[in-house]
Amino acid sequence: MSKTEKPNHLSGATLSRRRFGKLAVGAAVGGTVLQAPWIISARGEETVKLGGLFHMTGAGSVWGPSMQQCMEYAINEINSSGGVLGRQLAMLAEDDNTSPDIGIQKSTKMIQADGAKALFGVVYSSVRAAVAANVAARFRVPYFYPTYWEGGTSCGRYYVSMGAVPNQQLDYFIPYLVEKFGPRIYCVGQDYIWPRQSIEIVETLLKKHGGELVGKEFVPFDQSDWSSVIRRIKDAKPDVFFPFIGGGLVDCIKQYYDFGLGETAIASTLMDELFVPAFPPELREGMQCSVSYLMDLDNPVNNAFIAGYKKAYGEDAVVNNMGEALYDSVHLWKLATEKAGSFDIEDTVDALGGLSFNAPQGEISIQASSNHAALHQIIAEVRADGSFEVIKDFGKVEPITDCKV
Amino acid sequence: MINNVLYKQPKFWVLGILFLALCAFPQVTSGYQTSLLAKFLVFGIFALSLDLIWGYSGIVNFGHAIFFGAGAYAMGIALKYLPFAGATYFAVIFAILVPMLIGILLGYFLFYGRVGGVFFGVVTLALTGVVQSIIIISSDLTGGMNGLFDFAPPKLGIPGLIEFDLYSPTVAYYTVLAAAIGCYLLARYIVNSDFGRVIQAIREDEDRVEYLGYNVPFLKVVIFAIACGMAGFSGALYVPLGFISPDLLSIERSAVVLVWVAVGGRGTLIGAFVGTLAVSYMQTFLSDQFVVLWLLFIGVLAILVILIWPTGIVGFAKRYSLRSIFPFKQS
Amino acid sequence: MEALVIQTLNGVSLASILILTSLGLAVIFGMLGVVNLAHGELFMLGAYAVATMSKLGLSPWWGLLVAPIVVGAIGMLIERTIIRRLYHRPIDTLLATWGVSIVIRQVVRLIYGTGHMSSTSLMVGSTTVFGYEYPTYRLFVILVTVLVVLLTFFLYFKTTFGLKIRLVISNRSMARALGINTSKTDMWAFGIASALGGLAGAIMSPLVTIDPEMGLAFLAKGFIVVIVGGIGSLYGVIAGGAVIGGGEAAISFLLRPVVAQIIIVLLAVVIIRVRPKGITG
Repeated sequence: MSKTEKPNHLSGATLSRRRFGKLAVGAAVGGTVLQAPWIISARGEETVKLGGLFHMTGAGSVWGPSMQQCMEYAINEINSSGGVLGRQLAMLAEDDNTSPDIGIQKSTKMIQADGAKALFGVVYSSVRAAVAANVAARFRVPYFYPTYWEGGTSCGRYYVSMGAVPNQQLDYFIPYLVEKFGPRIYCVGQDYIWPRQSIEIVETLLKKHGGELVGKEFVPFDQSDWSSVIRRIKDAKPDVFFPFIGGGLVDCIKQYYDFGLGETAIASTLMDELFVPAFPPELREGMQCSVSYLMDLDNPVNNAFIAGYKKAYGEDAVVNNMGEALYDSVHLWKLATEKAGSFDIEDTVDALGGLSFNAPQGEISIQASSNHAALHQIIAEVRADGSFEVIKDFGKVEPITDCKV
Repeated sequence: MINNVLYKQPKFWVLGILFLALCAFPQVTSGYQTSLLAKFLVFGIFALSLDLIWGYSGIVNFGHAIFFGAGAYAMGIALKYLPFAGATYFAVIFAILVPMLIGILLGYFLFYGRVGGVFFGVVTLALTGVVQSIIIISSDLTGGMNGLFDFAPPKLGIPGLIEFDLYSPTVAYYTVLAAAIGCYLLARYIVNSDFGRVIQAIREDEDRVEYLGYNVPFLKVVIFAIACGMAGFSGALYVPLGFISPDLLSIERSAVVLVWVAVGGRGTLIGAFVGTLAVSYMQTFLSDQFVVLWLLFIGVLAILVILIWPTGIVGFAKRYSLRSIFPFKQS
Repeated sequence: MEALVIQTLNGVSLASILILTSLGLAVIFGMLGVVNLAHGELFMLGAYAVATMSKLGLSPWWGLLVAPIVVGAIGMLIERTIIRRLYHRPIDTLLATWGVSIVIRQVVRLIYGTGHMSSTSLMVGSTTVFGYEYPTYRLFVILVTVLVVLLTFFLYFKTTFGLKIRLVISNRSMARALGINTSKTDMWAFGIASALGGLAGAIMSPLVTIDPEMGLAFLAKGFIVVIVGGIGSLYGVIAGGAVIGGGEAAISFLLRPVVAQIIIVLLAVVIIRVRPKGITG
């Protein structure tokens, strides 16, 4: 990363780093959070700008910093191998405070004031919907969303889904669970669209594979006491408990453990490298998960990726499936731009469909009809130390979606 | 007469220049800056509605975002289900009436139950979470967690003849500017009317007003309903500039509008705009500069302003040499 | 029968958790007239104390001891530096504590990073109650709540300090005239209430997510407990906690939990119309 040209307004950020450096001593993520180069630039005006929108503060701040690193890493990698069409990339990074309002404001700024050619990032569904509908579609700029989601609610020419939709997490996972643990599955979800659609798909898959959904229920967002829910789960005596709960997952599992899990296994599509530290070792051991990427994958691309990433951000640096998807997104944007042969946004968007990229998770591609990525479905088990034992990689799974570009 | 006023009152000159500057703003800046200022002016109207009740009748609404959000959702839902031309006007009326109705209902239970002071704030705070839950679970109508976005674009003008798309920053800006001036004048008219004087008397001493024969709970419900309607109106104006999601009804948004009014100076009306613009631009500036630390700075600033400037910017200006600039009544 | 016993115990333990988490909030509001929006963050700091002990390789039980002391001290610091200047401006305390809550959250992020924390479980296993198995830790939470409530009541009604506080509440200027250092009682009242919040966070840490935002949900719950029970009285917290805890455990049998929660709060607003000072008022 070249620091030859540092925009003026960054001097303030550098100063703050010095002043707050002491506070951040011993901070695992703090140190990286405070790094100043939000904008990496080289060779003056020739740089092409890409905008990153991250949850750096607010409820989603667990995810922001690692996403930012992944994007920065991808851009550095591209720049050091000669850039795109001979030009270097510059990264813009903004915090959306995990709020659609600020998200729109900042992404509009990146496009209109700073001239970003594409947008990347975001976890929270409301921020994603806001950026997709009110920024990407309105200003005609591609937006890559790296998080697993329900599919269908955001859709369009400029919206690229890089996270798994439910069938990409469940198609092979459900039969696997039925075979390994037994046919009875109990689902609990928060009361909104992603859990509802996912559980619907679980139900269909169970019917197809000889399983049975022995119970499902939906809980409020701020559910903090799970005793009644757990009692109902225990009454149903399921073989597998399959929660679709974002923030409350930790509370739920901790309290379930307290009540005694018995023979019931826990399966989740949410478990990843960033979520694991929230659970004490005895709780996370043996959890079943289905994701599109894991740091513990053993293939040459991933080994190189992890080695480089740790070299850049320290031995404790963490990537999860969202971070990897963001890394892939930047590379796919590069491939599309190179295929189009120009930085014209419309040409880049046209070139996206059908592209494939050899990502750390394995080969992925963009479904031309929907601009949704075909991703790997990997089933793994969590070990007590927080690492993942990859059980099976089912390879690339095409997304099933009503979305038409 | 008018010449006389202009001669003696420099504040009219200041106001005139300010007005011209505001009118010229979209011509000299980018679309991003225009829509940003338009959004902040919408927030200013929202803060103005809070100042009406907090500053003038002493009602502390700690769930004011409920009414802003209700207005925005009412607007969005109306635009979605009223497919004919000119639906925007109906949608706006809807966006004023729905929050007003919620305000009247809530006011009936709380003011007639003699809930006042900080306790009223605590109740409204708790209600924020409830309204948010209601919106999230009624996802067929409201879009749930994802928010509401697939409605017809709001348009002004005469359908079929001349139409302005509110999604254009310039159109949105001038609409909001006109609305802000209108709301400010309406609020000024209200607080200077006889009704407004009684309301202020209630703030000073509720019991005494009661002894004078006024129906205090009723008057409180009335001013509360007006403020809720205005908050809903600002929510409707926010629709083309922002995004309708449950986030609009968060505790954070309720808290931040109180901060805007407190920073500007409560009970001054113009202070609502001054505080909103000052805090919002400060926040934008800080978050552009410090991607991570800005929120910490905002917290520290909020504490400092409240400790050091209890009367807010306008109150401060009132006390010192800027007396003649701000258009407030000397009371 | 099993369902009845277990669900009753669930109701009692939920009520205990609610009482424990909102006691400090009610104490600060009742005694000082301050709506403390940073109470959730004090709760969060308590949980972080336990997680820090776990991280240092110490027994999490140390966290339970350290949390009230450290958080109480932080509370006193907040009172000395900020709240003390605002007692005559109750609404401004609300805004100032909102600022404090942001500052605490962001400072915790800077020190601990943005990720989740976890602590080792304090107790595992279950105990037989009326012939049915129930988690030992939940019984422990009930026990702690009973002890904390008794201790608070004892402090409030049976000690000289409690007498002073009650005098300050009923007539501040008279208390001052009688030679009571009201500024000191304020500080201690705020410190004790903060310590209660910290203790609640420490006790709850094995059962909840530990991250900088965790306090917000408990703050909202705490306010609902306070409005249902009635403000300014210690009994109110117990009544509010019991009604909401019991109600949620009972209604969630019949309805969607979200709907149950909405109904309870709306009922609370209706109850206010009939009994403006809450159930106990």
